[in-house]
Amino acid sequence: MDSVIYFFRRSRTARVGLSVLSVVLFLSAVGLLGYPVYTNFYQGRVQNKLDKQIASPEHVEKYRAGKLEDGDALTRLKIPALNVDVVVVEGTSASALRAGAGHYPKTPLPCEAGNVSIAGHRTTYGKPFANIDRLKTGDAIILETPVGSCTYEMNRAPFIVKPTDFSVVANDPSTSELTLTTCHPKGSAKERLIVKATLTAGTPSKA
Amino acid sequence: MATIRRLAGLAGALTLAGALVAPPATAQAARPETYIGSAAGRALDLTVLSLPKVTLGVSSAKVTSLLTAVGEGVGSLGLVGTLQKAEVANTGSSTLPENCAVPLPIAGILNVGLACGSASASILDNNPVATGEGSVAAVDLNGQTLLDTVGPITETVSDTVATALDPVCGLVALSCGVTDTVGDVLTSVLETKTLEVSAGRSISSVTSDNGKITATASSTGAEIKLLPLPVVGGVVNDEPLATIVVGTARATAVYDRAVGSSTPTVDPALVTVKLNSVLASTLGIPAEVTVPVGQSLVVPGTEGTPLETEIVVAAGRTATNPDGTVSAFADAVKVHALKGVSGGILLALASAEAGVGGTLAAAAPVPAVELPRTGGTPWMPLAGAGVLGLAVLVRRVVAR
Repeated sequence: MDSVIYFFRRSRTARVGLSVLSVVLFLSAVGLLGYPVYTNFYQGRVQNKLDKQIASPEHVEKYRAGKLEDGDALTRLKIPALNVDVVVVEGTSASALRAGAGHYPKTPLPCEAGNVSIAGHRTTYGKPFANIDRLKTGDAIILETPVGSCTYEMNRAPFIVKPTDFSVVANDPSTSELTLTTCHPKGSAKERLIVKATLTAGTPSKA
Repeated sequence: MATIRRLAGLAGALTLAGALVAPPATAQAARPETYIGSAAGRALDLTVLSLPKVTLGVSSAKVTSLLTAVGEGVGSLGLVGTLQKAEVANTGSSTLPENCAVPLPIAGILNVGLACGSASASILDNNPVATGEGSVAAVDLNGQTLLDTVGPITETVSDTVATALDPVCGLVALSCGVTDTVGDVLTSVLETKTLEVSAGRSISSVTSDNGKITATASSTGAEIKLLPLPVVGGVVNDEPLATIVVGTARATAVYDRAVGSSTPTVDPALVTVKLNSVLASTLGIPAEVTVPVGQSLVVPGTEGTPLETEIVVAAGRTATNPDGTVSAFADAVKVHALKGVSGGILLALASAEAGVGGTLAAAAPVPAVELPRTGGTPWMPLAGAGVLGLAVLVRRVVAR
C-alpha cells in the first residue's frame, strides 16, 4: 500500500490524474447529496407556473370542458393542520408528480361523487405529504378547483398498505371521499401510507 | 497512513451500503418454446455364427424447435448405396428417392435381396417434418455352407434326440437312427434350404404442426421360414417345417404444444408360429400357435435337438426420462434358430422406438403494478457520502 501511494506521489501523470478524479468524485458526491435540494427547487418553480395557470380564464374553460392534460393544474390542496398548500396536477406519471402531487386519472375529479384520489411526494419535490402520518380523525383537507371548492374531513387514522393494493383508490360512486397516497416509510417505497377523508362541505357533483 | 486506511474503509463501506439499498436488477427475460421429436426403427438384425451382425431396413427421423429436420433411411447398414439422408434447417424441403443395391453375399452363407433407403425433410411455416424408410426384399441362408463352417460333428444321435427328431427326420426323408451321428442328421437336414426371411421394412417419421409434435416408428413384420422346402415322402414339400410370422411393431410419442404434455404409446409386434401340418399331426399339437406378448416359445418338434428354435416376444414399454421427455419402445422380437448348431442364428425383428418432449414458451414476468412511487431513493445519500469520502481520500493522497 505504501509503495502504491509513493508511486502516485512521485509520478506527475498519476498526480494529475488523481487530481481530476478527486474533482469528479467531489462533484458526483455533491450531485448525489444535493439531489433532494434540487428537486425541491425544481418543484418550487413548477408550482409558480401552476399558480398562474390555475387562475387563468383559459384554464377555467379547459377545466369545464374536461380537456385537462397530464401535468395541467387541477386543484389547490390545503391541509391547515400541516400548513400544506400545493397545486395538484392531473396525472400520476413521474413527470407529472414533479409538481409535488398528482391526481389519479381514473378517479373522479375533486369535489365529485366517488373516491377522489391524489398521490404526493413525501421526501422530494417539495415533499407536500411529508407529515400526513400526523393527521388525525377530524382534520380538514380543502380542495379549491377552478369551478368551486369543497372540504373533506378525516374519517380514520392514516394506515399502511402494500404498494400493489389498488383497492384504496377503487371508485365507489355511492360515496364521496378523498384518498391521499404517499410512500412509507420516509425515503423508502416499500409501502404506501393512506389517508381517507369524507366530503363534509361543498355539493358533490356527478362524476 | 492509518488515517488513509480508515478513510478508505469508511468510503468503501458507505458506497457499498448505497449499492445494497439500490433498486434490484431487471427481471428475467422471456423463454421461447422448445421441443424435440425422434423416431427410429429396424426391420432385421441378423447374426450367424461368429460373423459380424447384419442390420437391414433401418430408418430414423428427428426434428427440433431450433427448426432442424433430419430423415434417414438405409437398406443395409454400412452399404452406402442403400443410404439416403435428407436434412433441412430453418426453411425448405428435401425429398430423396429410393437408393437401392443388392449387397454381396456374406461369407457365402447369407444372401440379401434388394436393400433400399429413402428419406425426406421439410420445414414450412416453422413446422419441421422428417421421414426415413429402409427396406430389404428378402434374406436367404445357405445351410450347407453353414454346416461346412461348423465342421464335422461326430457325436452320435442319442435316443432322446432321435425320438425328438423323428418327426423332423420324417419330413426330410431321413432315418435318424441311433447309429447315425448328429452331423449326418444335420447334413441331410441342412442340405435343403435352411432359412428364408421375407421382406422387412421400417418407417420413421416426425411431424409437427401448430398443435402437436408426433413421432412414429413402425417396423413391418416378416415371415421366417425354417427349413422352407422339406421333403415329404420323397417329394419336395412347399410347406416349411415352421413359419414364424412377425407382425408390425409400432411406437408413437406425441407432444401437445398447447399444454406442454407428452404421451407415449407402444404396440409390440404379435407373433404366430405355423407348423408344418404333417409335423403338427404327428406331434398331436395345433398347427398354429400365437406367442403371447412378453413370453417365449420353442418351436414344437425342435426342443432338445440341434434344430431347437426359440422365439421371445417382447412386451414393449414406455418411459418418462429425467429431462422430461417420454419414450416408447417396441423391443424386437428375437428368434434364436438352430441353437444347437454352433450357436445358431440370431434374428431380431421389428424394433421401433419414438420419443418427444418440450417446454412451453414463457412470457417475461410482468412487473407488479404499484401505486405511484412518491418516496425517496434511500441509496442516494449513502452513495453520496461514500463518494465524498473517496474524493477526500484521493485528495489526501495527492496533496501530501
